Amino acid sequence: MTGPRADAELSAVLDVIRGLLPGPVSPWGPERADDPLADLGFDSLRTVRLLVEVETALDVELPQDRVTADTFRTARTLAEAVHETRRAHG
Amino acid sequence: MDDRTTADRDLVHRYRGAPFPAAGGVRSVLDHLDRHARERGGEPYLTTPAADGTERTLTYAELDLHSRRTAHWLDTALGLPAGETVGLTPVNDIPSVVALFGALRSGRPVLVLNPADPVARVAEQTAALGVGTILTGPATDGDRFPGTVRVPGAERLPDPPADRSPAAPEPDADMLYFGTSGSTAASKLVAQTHANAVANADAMVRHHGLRPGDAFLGCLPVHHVNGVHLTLMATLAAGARAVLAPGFDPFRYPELLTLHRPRVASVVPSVLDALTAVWRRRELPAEFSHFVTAAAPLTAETARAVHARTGARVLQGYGLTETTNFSTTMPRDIGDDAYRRLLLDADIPTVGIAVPGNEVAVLGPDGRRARPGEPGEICMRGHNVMSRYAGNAEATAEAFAGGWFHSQDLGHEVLDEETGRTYFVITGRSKNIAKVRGEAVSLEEMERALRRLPGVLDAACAAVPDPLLGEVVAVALHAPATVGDDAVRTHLRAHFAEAVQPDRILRVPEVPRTATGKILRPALRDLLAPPPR
Repeated sequence: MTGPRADAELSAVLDVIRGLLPGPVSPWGPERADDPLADLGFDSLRTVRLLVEVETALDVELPQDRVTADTFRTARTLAEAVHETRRAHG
Repeated sequence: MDDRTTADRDLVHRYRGAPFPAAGGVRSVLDHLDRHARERGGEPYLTTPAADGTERTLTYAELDLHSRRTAHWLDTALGLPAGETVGLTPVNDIPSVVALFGALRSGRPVLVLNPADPVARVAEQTAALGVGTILTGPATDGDRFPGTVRVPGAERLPDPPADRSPAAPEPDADMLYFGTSGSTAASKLVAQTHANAVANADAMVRHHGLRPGDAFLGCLPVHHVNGVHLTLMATLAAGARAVLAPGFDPFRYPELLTLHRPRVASVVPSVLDALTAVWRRRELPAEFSHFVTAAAPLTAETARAVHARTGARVLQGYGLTETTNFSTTMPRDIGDDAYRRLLLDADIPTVGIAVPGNEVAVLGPDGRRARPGEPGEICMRGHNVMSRYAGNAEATAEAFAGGWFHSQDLGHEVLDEETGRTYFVITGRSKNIAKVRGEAVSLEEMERALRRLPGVLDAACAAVPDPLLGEVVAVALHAPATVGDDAVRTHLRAHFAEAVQPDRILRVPEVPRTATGKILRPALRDLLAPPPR
């Protein structure tokens, strides 16, 4: 994923994740893009909340084949799914 | 037992005047297993799709054979005394289910334990019943609880001798024990009989119209009554097939619905909220009839979202471990108008009508039946009412006072003139219980645990609403800064399951209490209300 638009998506996804973290994680920033979300305290239901909030914040609806555990592995994989979805439907 | 207690105990188990258990008929769920093993032995009873995408299926004949082998192993290789209660830490897999039926086949009641519970909590429950052996399958950590024995795979166990058929259990004999989230774990162990399980399974088969060949999708843990009685026992009674997922995985669940084509799926409201968020397909398979939900209050908003997203109905039910599993459930044979009126557009969606085999009433403080709309305590009597709280005659007598089981839940009746049926609405709990992810936790028990932590001056807990989990636990803690959140959380993890750990710990200068020292629950809830996002 490259380019300013993809960076903007990663940054927006990280913002949403920060709002949903069960506890403080510092420092918080792009250096966390590849941290497994499971290690950050995202169980299945928190992950669903992340899906809903990312879709709302970034005004996108991920298709069924993107609503998978792989998409929600890390902030980066999620940002990539958002980016690909927007490109496909853009 | 005095005369009044004896009379209450007789009354609380009657249904339309009939004594319980009735003579003749099905004596235990093992009779259902025998019948289906004979009539449809090759048909699947249980399919367990694992998290890695693989799945296993057990037929009725295999469950019959494997449970007999396991029973024989308990009698011989393990050499347990006849009739001795065994513990079981089941997970949602085939070995756990075979171990459960093996123990029942061998005439041993089973104390059903949560494998994720802290060691101290399990120890309290086993000590209360004098249980020395805890059976477990291959998937759990066999060293966590003292006395744990791993049950060998039944494929490798020898057959019992042909002349050794275990005696069928008596209907009024104890079958299962479950801990409840009462004041302390040890004082409230619910004893359910074989006849209780038969009554609940029969009610569920009739209420949900389960038939041989139907698939039933379960994802709730089988260490809870709902997992055991609805997902395992009702499907067994029907000759249907239980599809038992290891848990709720929002990314796999839509696939399970489309792949296994269940007629009914058993969920809790938080599962429905997650499902509506991830569901992107158009329609549910043609076989699908409805979701059945319990354990936590269903909101009309959730039911409407399910309806809008999937077109399916959600039938809310209600019951307690003390009433085996379900006391009421929304009927499935009502029209769209009634469904909309009683559930989708209701302030509080109804929990439905009394299921067959039990009577439900709303009683006022004077013990008289409340009029429709008038609030009171939800009470039940009938064939699904537990035998007793094991080892606690006082609590049993109190719970059965006046010949009704007292739920301590508040509600009212709704007489629906169009359908002529009496529906029930639950408005609140008189117990201080939080329900997180379908797991109940006593707030008072958590408060006591917190106050035992050195340095803590005072503590109070509240159930606060959560958009996805229904509710979560929040703690108001009065303690010096030297008592860190980490220490508090470590302490709580030693006493309570992971699922019910508090979402938030708020430091307070004092806990709101009345002059007499009672916690001011409404003020506490305001204090701990979730911060605006």
